Amino acid sequence: MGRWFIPCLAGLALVLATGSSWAAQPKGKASDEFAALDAADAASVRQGIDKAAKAKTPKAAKALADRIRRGLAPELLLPAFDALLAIGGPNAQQGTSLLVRHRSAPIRAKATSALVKLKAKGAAETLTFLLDDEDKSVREAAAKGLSDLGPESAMPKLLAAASLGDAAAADVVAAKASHKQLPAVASRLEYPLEGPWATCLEKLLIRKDWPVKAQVSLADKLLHSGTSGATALLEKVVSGLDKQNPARQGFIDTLKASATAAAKEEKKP
Amino acid sequence: MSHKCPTFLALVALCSWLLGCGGWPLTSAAPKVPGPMAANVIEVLSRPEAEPNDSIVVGLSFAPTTLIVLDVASGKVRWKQPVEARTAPILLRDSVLVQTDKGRIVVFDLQDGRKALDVDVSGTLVGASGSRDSLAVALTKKPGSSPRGLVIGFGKGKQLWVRDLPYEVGVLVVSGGLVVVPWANQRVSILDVATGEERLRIVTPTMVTQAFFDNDRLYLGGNDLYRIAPGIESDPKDKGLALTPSRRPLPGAPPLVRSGIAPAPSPSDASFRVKLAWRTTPGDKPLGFENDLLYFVFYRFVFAYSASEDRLLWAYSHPQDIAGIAPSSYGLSLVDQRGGATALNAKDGRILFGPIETGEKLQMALIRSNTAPTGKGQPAGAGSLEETLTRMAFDPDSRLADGRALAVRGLGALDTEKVTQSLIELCRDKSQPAPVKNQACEELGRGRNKGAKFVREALATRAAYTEGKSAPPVGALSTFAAAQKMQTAMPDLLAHLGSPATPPQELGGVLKALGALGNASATEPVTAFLRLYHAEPASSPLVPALGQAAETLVTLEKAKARPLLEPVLLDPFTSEPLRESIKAALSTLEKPAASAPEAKDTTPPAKVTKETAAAAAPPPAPATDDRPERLSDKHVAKALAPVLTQLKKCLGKSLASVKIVMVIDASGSLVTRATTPPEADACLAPVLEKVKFPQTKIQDAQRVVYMLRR
Repeated sequence: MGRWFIPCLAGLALVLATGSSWAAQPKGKASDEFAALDAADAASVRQGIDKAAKAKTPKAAKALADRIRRGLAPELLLPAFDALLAIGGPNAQQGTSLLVRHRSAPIRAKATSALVKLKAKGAAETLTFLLDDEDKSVREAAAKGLSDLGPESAMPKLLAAASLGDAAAADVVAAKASHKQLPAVASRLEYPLEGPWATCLEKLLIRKDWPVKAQVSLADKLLHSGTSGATALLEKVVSGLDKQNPARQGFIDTLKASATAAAKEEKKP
Repeated sequence: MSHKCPTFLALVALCSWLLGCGGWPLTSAAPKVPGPMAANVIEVLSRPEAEPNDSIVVGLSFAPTTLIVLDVASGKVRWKQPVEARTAPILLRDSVLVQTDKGRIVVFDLQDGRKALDVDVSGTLVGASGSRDSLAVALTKKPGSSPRGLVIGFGKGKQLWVRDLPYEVGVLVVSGGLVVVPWANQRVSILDVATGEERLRIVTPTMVTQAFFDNDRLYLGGNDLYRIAPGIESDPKDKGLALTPSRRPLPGAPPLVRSGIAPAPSPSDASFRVKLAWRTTPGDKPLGFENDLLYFVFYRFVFAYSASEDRLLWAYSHPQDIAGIAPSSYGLSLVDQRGGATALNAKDGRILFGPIETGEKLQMALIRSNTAPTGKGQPAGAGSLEETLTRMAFDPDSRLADGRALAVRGLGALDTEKVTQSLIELCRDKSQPAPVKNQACEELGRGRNKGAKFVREALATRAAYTEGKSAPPVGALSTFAAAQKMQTAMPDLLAHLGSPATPPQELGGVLKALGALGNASATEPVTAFLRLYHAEPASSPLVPALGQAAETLVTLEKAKARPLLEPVLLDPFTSEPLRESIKAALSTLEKPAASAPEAKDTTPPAKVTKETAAAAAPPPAPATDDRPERLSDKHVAKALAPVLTQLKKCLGKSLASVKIVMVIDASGSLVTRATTPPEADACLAPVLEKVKFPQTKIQDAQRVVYMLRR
């Protein structure tokens, strides 16, 4: 339960920091200047959204944010949100914090991406929380956002998402996981070595900023994980390394030791 | 003409017999039998006829098929014969009959397997009865053939007579030198077994397709059961000779009596794996089911239901698929597909003896066992009904989904903490087959009292992709929380309301619970939810939940809900169904309280006593529960029929029709209504409020729509 509430509270903090509650109800209607936002037909509302987008004023942003909160038809929500993001500012942050929990996955994905652009406070916690979203596009947006914001604290969740096949999370792990996170990486080695996860591990094994000792240790843990395809993956990595690479010999030795142990095991009655 | 040309007619009859038609027909005219003679025929048929005193199993092995006769007590094979059987065997008194792939009727002696009869017949076997030396066989031909049915009498290995039938013939039985032949669905002819001559004909009040022995008495079966006894020919229902069992929804919908006009089942017929079994009360007792039991067999599962009420008494899970069963006075004998014989106690499903392993693999089996169980094997105590049903509900056998769902239904009736925990587990597990999962969710939301801590725990969990967790079944859990007034569940309910991982169909339960808990802190988030999504199209799965949100706001805020709901109601982007729901919710505010005092009541609120609580409680379900599950359009139309003229008057001259949306609770009372256009509402309201709709099994109030037309 705690795991759930911390990001939730962080999200709430984000909203409060922008000066509004997510549940705050917009009162009345849009100002006269943007009265079209409250028109009875979709075409007029669309015109109102365009007008607000062109105005690019805080007043326009407020009118848009309020209109979103009052509930828009699905076909109008995305353009209204685009217009709001284009204006930016505190109103855009409020709108975004509301829409990261919207029931429409494309809206959530857009809001997730917007969190970083808007430099919203508490965004990292919210993005970490969104790595658990059931929709892939939202998780991808969250992983990319974390890559920009600094993924360290989210690395366990990113690793989990990567090992389950999320490409964006795998890219972030491959590029940014520190060798100190080796135990966390090792804890996911039983997941099938395929797709983005296999690519992620290959990249970690040849990361130049990782100590050779950590890379060989990862190779050793990989071979001992018993996961199908571990040997093939490591052989592929070895074949791609030039002979001067300091990790190469370590990998070869690990492969040999593993083969010897396997042969001994086979000989056992 | 018949009087003028008897010779010609005789020649026609002779020719047709020589051409292979075989017999003389049973015509539509019943034989004219003097009353005393008819009574005599019925008296002969109503005499008890005990089954042979042996305990045997007759089975067919898997391909290549072998007919096998086993002694139950010893578990030893009496004999085996290879046979290319088209039909499952039919057990006669001293022999066993099958129709082969080539269409021949073959009879084997039960004692030694010797062939007593092997004849070619032109027709598909329907049924057979009698013995080696006095046998009658019913056959059917393809639709459109003439004759459609045949009854052939055999004696000592020879064909004695043939009767043609213009209609389908049912399963027959031989008794007291007579053959009882159901045909044309409601006719029953009694023939002489030696000559085929028709002695009497009965027309039954309802469809009858089978004649059979059960517990030493002769019965006719179809939609109802009729015991053949004096009075059957005239007024069986008045004489207590008819039994109409209550129907209950079971997987595969097995009939009480297999259709007797269908060809005899093949050895692999599903009716050997999914069936209802029962035994009638002894002949000296009023007609009913022995031990008040109906057994339902589903592959490996046995469910024992009370025949007189919708109650599961015990359940049993067998290690192998069941090939055949036979109810008896002490309980149920069963033989499994590995040839193991087991007997279960009628009272509690405890194993009385067995399994006695015969080692013979059987695809189907017939059991004749009328002796008390004295065989080998270890008597075993049955687990409690709860333990057994839980084991069945979680059985990993993928074929048994419908049977597992039935076990879950049985569990639902047991209000214990562990059952609640099991139901939560099954309801939230996406890997469970849909019937099991859905049944578990349904049972969870159906008036349970025990297991609040498990409900709280489940409500506190969330969907998390990286942890492989899906959303808990919040709809059903919320119903439980609301019934138990679990205020501590409020934060979790609000979190699920705001979570996109909560499936739309679950949101209604969450919102309803928020209303039932009556905590005003829910008003703001519920209003935010309704506003944010109110412009969803009419086809959106969210619309029902949005309608519920409106009802919840009215429940929480009463008249203060109006300013929250009216902007949504007036928004042109609000879908029509949601608009209707909001109107219905708001209309409850206008409804005057039935017991509202005229003057301000200054007396303190009455202390809640057992008596006042009972008075406030919904009316109890009728003893025999014939309430519909839900209200259908027909129920509504029937309930409104007596006041239809009054309602139509409300249309006046200006309205051609009015759409009435009504919310009716489980007790059949109108909770609220909304009319479109609203002009007629004031006139309709007092009439509608007096209407009593049928009570329903579902406890939720139901929204129904009625179009009132001029």
